[in-house]
Amino acid sequence: MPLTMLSVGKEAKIDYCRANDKTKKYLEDLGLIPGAIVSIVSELGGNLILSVKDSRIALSKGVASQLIVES
Amino acid sequence: MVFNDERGIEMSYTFALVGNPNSGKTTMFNEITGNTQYVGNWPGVTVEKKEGKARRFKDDISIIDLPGIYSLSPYTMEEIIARDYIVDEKPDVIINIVDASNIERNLYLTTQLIELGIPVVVALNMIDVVNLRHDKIDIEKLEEGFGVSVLVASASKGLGVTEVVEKALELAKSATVKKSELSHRIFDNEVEDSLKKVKELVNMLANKSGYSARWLALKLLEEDIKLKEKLDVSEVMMSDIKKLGQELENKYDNDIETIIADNRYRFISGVIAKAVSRKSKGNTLTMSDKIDKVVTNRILAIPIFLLVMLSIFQVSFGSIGSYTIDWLDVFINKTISGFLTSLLEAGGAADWLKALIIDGILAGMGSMLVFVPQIMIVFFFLSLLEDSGYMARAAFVMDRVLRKLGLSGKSFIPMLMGFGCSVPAVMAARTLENEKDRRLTIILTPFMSCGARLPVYALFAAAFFAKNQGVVIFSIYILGILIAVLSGIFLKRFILKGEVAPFVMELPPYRIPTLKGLSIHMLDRGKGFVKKAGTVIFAASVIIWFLQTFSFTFQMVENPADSIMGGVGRLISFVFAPLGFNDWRASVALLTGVVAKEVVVSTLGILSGVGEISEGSAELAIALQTYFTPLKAYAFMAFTLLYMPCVAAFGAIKREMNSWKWTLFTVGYQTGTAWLVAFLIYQVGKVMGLG
Ligand SMILES: Nc1nc2c(ncn2[C@@H]2O[C@H](COP(=O)(O)OP(=O)(O)OP(=O)(O)O)[C@@H](O)[C@H]2O)c(=O)[nH]1
Ligand SMILES: [Mg+2]
Repeated sequence: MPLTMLSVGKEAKIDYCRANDKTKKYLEDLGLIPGAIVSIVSELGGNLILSVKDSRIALSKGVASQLIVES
Repeated sequence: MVFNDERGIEMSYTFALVGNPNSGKTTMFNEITGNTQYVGNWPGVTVEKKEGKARRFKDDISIIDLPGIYSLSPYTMEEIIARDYIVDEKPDVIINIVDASNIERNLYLTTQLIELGIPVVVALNMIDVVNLRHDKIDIEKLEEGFGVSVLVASASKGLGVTEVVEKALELAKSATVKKSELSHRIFDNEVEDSLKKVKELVNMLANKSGYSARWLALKLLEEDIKLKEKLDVSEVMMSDIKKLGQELENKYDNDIETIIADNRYRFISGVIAKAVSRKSKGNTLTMSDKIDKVVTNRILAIPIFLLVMLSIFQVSFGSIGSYTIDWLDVFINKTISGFLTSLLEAGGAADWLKALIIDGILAGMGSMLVFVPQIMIVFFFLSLLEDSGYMARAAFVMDRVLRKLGLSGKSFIPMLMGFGCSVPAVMAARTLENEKDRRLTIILTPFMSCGARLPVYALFAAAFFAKNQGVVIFSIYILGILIAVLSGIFLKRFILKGEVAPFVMELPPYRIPTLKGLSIHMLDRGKGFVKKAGTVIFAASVIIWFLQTFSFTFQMVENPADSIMGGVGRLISFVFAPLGFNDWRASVALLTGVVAKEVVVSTLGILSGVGEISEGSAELAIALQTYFTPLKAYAFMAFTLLYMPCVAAFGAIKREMNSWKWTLFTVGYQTGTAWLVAFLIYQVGKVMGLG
């Protein structure tokens, strides 16, 4: 399911990313690679604050919906 | 590395600070060099390369501070600057600043740096945060895993800094560069095999370009387009490399970049499992998370944001801010002016000299200096937002709003900085990855009223809206924001069309701003304005005084209207006639205001002959009332807000746009908008009977 469907506080594993190459690469550099465990800290109108390892990444709704996770 | 002449003992070295954004590179840089470069708690503070000399070392050591990068595949403009420096200029040693409190992600860059063939020292910064969490990091295990020296440090507390430089020096001096011995290989056998094949293909190219063959092979395997273009790699070679990449992609059923990134992260996990023992459990909410749950809450986010902004305005432009102005006004225009007048009289100075000093220089500089404390208050609050980490949250909260205008949340940061000074603000737009977003942000940022424009509003508000000064000044700031909003919509719709880049931004943990950090920011900026008053404004005041004292035939004139300045003013004043302020003095002031916006005030001060009677701005206010009405004054303030920014900002825009066409479009658009808005204010106001 897309990351946008994950509820706040629940953990999930990134399965794959549907964003364009450039964004995908950037997300991977930030630690958002397939297999990474993420959870949502906060949600605001579809925009998310994501927790991955020790960092917090803010994502707009558009990108968040391109990250597919499995819980 | 340069050998120093005869003695050959002292040498010069270059060490570059490289690391993730917000890992503390600039803090470290300042500690090592004694500089005061800008530090802030959000990613992307440093957007250009800075150089400084290490103190306390016999050798000549240049330290290079660079923008932060997450990897050697740059995403945004400032990241390109950093990567190009590292791979092209080849510093003697890379000091890799790693944020120890976010170690796994930070080491991702380290896995790439050790492939470059440049000696690397890892500085595990922010070790204080790790200690507070009671986590333990085994340095030896890390060194073993990565095959490089690792030292702990806390740049903001000044701990371990010298040791890091000493270690780098030791590395630089040991003639043989020891190749880093990893405890095990970063990549799987399959990837290594392909890599070996690519390496054979690119060996020649590597020799020619001076890059390490392994690194070049990896980059080309990842299809780094910029590098491919730069080295002009032949299509034949590229397709061979692609074929090898495809084989890997088929084997892993994933694309090559992901395979390589995954390999790196796996390697790091392996090392971390041995080297780091955590007290804290994985999925617990940190203090920052708890704050974020409130600050970015669905219902509370916008009210909190507005409350923060309004309080800043209230304190800066309300009672506290104006108190400092009144106090300084009396000090400069009564005490100093009186003192200087009697001094000059006692010394028997010539009349013209007295006029130049009191009417020219003091009137010009003084009318601007009174605002320095208030400008510093604005900077104090901006620093508070920046250092606490709220700035990045505000960008997140505003993303949805800005997206409607065709911008992303990232544009918020340059715009907010615009309330301080347009020059760094325009440069801060480098963090926007998309060219069109960046251009649009640069065009809109100067609409955020910078500190230098404040003296103009304050002067006019005091002269014409004495009862509602705060409200009037506030409305000008809002006008700027409103015009930026409308311009955003307009320009996005018709000129800078296209998709807005997605918003992806790391949020730093909240930190308690330090008094040291805040006062450095405040004093630095305050000093900047005083320096400007002492140089640019000083010179401008002298020139303006001269031009309004002499006629075209260099005769001293009785009435300034007959002077050179008067002539120029009358020549251009027709442009401003439809806006209501066609008095030659107003026209001239706007013209000279391009030098620096405060000069609008200095010019009006000089042209009104204030200073003589040492009653300062009260006197100037009375003079202004002879050629402005409240409506005209408001239109004038609006024009000052919106028209082209000062020459310094113009220079920054030119550099950042990197195109004359766009630069001229920007200032043309701004000035045109200013004219139109002032026109509407004046004409509509007149119809409504406010004139
Ligand atoms: N607790 C703690 N905070 C630190 C330390 N070093 C830096 N900081 C803080 O971390 C934040 C970022 O510092 P900077 O020096 O601006 O980071 P940078 O790496 O230059 O960031 P960019 O220029 O954006 O790449 C600031 O708020 C610093 O005060 C440290 O050792 N411990
Ligand atoms: Mg920096």
